[in-house]
Amino acid sequence: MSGIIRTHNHSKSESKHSLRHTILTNHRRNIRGVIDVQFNWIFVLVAGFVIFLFIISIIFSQKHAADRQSSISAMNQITTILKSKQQTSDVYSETIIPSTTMTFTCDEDTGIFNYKISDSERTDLPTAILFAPAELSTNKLLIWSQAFNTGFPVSVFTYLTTSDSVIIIYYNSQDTSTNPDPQIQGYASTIFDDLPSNITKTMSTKLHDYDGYKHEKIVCIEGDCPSQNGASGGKDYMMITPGDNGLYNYGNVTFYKNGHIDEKLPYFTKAGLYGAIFSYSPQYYNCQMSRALKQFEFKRSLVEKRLNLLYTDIDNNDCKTTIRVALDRAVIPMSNATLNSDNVTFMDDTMKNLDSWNTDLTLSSCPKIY
Amino acid sequence: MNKKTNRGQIQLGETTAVVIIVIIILVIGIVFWSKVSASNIKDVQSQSQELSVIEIANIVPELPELKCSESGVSKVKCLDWYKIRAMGDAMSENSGGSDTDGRLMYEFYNNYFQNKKITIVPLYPEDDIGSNSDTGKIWNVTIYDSKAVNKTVTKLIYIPVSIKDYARKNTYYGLIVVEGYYNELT
Repeated sequence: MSGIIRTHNHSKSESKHSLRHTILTNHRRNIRGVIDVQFNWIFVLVAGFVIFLFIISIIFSQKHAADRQSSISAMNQITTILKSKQQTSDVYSETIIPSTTMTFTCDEDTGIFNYKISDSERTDLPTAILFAPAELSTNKLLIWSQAFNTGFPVSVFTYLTTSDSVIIIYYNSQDTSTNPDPQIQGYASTIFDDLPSNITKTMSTKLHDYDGYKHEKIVCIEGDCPSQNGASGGKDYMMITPGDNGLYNYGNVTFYKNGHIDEKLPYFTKAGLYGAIFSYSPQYYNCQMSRALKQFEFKRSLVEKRLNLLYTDIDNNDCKTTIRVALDRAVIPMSNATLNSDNVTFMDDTMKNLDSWNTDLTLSSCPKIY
Repeated sequence: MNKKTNRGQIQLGETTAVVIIVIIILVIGIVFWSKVSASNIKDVQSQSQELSVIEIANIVPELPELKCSESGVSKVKCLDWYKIRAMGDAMSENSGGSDTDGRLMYEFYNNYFQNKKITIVPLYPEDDIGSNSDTGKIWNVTIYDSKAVNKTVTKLIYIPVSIKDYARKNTYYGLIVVEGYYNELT
C-alpha cells in the first residue's frame, strides 16, 4: 500500500513537474511567437520599403528616360529643320515643335555655334549660320532664309523668330520737319516690305505699344532714330547706316544699349543686314558673320582652284585673259576677308567686278567664273 | 515529429525548386529579350547608316561648290567637272595637311560628309574627260575621303549624274559613288 502511495506521490510530483515544464515551454513558445510576429512585421516593413524605393526609382528613371527621349527627339527634329533650311534660300516657313526652350550660343573665339533644348546636351550646328534671340521659348518656329552670295554662293543664312517676337522699324512718317529725307523712309519701307508678312513686324514710333512682346528688336535708319527724337525711352535699338551704294550693298549697324553705343559693326549684302536685324546682340551678330566669312574663304579657295584649272585647260586667249584678270584682281585679293568697314567696301566693289567679268565670259562663250 | 520534419523538408525543397525554375525562366527571358533588342538595334543602326549614305548622295549634287550653273540657273543632277577637280585637289591637299586653313576646310566638309568617301566616276564617253592623259585610265576624282579604313561595315550607293566640261563644252555621264564606313555593332 505504501508502495502504491509512494508511486502515487511520485506520479503526482512528476505530473506537477510536467505541468511546470509545459507551462514553461508554452511561455517560451509564446515569447518566440511574439518575437516571430514582430520580426515578420519588421521584415515586411523593411522589404516593403525596399520594394517601394525600387518601384519609385524605376518610375523616376522611366520619367527621366522619357523626358530625355522627348528632348532628343525634339532636338533631332529641330536640327533637321535647321539643316534643311540651309539648302534653300528666300524661303519662309513655320514649324510646330514640342513646346520647349531653346538656347543658342556662338563663341566668338572658337567660332563654335551650338544650341540646347531645356536641360539636354548641347548640339553643334557647325555649318549653319543662324540668327536668332539667345533664348527662345516656343512651340512654333518662324524660319526665314536668305542666300549669302559674294558673287559666288557662300551659304544660306537662316533667321529664326517666334510669334511673340516683334521687329519694330522706327518710322517717323508724320513729322516731315524732323525727317526730310525721303531716302531714309524708303529704306525703312524696303526693310519692312522685304520681311516675310507672317513675321510680327511694324513701322512705328510708339515703341512702348509693343512692351507685351517677349522679344522686340527696334531698327532705325540713321537720320530717323529714337535718340534723335528722345523717343527711345531707355530701349535698346539698332541703327542702320547704309553705305554709298544703297541699303543692301554694305554699311554699318550700330547697336545702342541704354541710350549709348554698345558696338558699331559693318554689314554687307542683304543677307548680312537681315542677320544684324535678327541678332539680339552685337557679339552674336559678329560671331555668326565671322563664321560666315570662314565659309566664304573655303568657297573662295575652291573658286580660285577651279579658275586656275580652267586657265590651264582652255585654249581661247580672250577667255584666258578675263579669267586671269578675275583671279588676280578679285578672287585672290578677296582671301582671308574680315568684317571691317574697309573690307566690306572692297568686297562690294569686287563682287560687282566679278559679276561684270562673269557676264563678259558668258557673252564670249567662255567658261564662267562661277 | 519525423513525419512533420519530412513534410517540411519536402515543402522547402518544392519552394527552392520553384524559386530556381522562376529564376531560370527569368534568365532565359532576359537573354531572349536582350538578343531581340540587340537585333532590333542592329536593324535600326543598319537602316540609319543606309539613310545617312543616301542623304549624302542627295546632298552632293546640290552643293553649289559642285553644281553646274548656266546663266544663274542651276541644273538638276549636273556637276561641273572643274568644280569636281578643284574640290578633289583641295581635299587631297588638306585632309592630312598641316596648313591650318586647309585643315579647317577639310573639317568643314567633314561636318557634311562625316565617315564617307565620295568619288565622282565619269563613265561615258571614255574620252579625254574621263581619262588621264598620262595613263589613259579612267580618271576618278575623290572629292572627300574620311580615311576611315579601320571600320568594318561599308554601305555603298551610286547616283547617276551628268558631268559638264565647260572647257571642252561637252557633257558626260557618270556616277557619284558614296561609301559609308561604320563599325559593326557587337
